[in-house]
Amino acid sequence: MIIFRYKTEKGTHQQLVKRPVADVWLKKGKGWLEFHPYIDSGADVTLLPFSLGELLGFKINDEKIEEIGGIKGAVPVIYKIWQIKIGEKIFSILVAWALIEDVPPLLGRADVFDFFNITFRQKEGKIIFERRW
Amino acid sequence: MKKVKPTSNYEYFLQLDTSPYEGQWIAIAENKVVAVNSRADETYKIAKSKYPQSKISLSKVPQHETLVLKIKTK
Repeated sequence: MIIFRYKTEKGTHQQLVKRPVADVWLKKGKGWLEFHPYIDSGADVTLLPFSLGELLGFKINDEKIEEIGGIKGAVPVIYKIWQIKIGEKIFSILVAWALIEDVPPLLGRADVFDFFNITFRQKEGKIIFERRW
Repeated sequence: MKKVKPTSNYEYFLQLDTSPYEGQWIAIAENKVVAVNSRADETYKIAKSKYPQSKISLSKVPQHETLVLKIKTK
């Protein structure tokens, strides 16, 4: 079981908002890169900004450039399958690599929410990840 | 059930006031912000050059008006 927590930040009108943040590792060469994305149960897939993908070694090959929709409008992305480590669990997930920088890094549902039972306990400031096996 | 302990970088990030870094990438090592840049790769490179032996983590601080709350694939 892994317990992540909420981070208090300033919102649009300078009010304080609590946002769920994870601690994950993404495969980088022979090692791992520790990274703190926001957990977004409303995001279909994990979203990585352009320069993070470049740091991980993503290349634009022959993959189709697609568009995903967000609050701000369409974002061009390339889909990749990439290894992630959450706690001690290593598995592969579908990620959308944004071809622009101005997107937040999000840990979305695809694969991640299949590997774990995830409980948001906002009042307690906790997000509980429990392995499904 | 075994409980996994969070890293010190994660704990530090949670309590850090990130408002000065809106829209930027930050690298954390040894309980402090060690690099800030508009790109992840540059941020990591700077942090690694300063703290080659340390465990480094990366975060992107959202600009509050640009935080995407929902992503839908077509």
